[in-house]
Amino acid sequence: MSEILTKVIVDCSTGETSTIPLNEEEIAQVENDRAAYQERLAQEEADLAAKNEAKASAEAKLTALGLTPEEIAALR
Amino acid sequence: MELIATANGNSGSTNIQFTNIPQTYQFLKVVGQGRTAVGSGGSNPWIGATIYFNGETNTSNVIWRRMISYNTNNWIDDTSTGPDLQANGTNTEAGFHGIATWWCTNYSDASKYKSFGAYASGTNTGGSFLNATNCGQYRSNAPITSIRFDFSYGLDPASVYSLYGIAG
Repeated sequence: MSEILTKVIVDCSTGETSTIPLNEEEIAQVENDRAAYQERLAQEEADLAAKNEAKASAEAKLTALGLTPEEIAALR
Repeated sequence: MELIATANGNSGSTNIQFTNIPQTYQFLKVVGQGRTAVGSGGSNPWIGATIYFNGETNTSNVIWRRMISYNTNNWIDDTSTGPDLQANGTNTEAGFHGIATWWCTNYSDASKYKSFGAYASGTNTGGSFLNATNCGQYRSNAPITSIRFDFSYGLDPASVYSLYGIAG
């Protein structure tokens, strides 16, 4: 990780703001958090795609049974 | 409602922290906007801040539940523990920041868990807005004296988060 990562700390008792480079432990945490974020994002998009696919499939089956678009919408 | 402190992002600042929070208010509220250096992650490169309390280095005492709406997707009940104070990434619409409001109703109580909520919005690469409503709990009796909002990716200089105290 070549970028210089920092944290901004505001002391509410004094109003003083400090910008401090992250230490090794904190940088390791950032790397873990980034990996978790990417994993979470991919999972969310996969979940949404699966949900939309199931919805489209259900609507197609209802249409095949003779329901109108208005009747299908009323079920939502 | 009184302004306690304001934190501004700068290139490379992955988190902001409010320390020595006065214990003299009934409620705490944070209002802010953020845009981070996250540039990948598919078509939805917004990121939600992870919130840490009292200098803790993990979120084992924190739980979240949320509802999300965006684009053509309707409401989603999400039972994950992910927090959502959205900040946009670099490949979302230029200049757009994610916005967020977070509040805690009993932060200084030394005998109860702390309840909090949040509203947040971000945009994806197609310009569709995500809106998230969150409820959470800090499962500790310790009064909240410090809060860290950790975005993992550097905030731009126009990112700003302000902490307010509310007398109740």
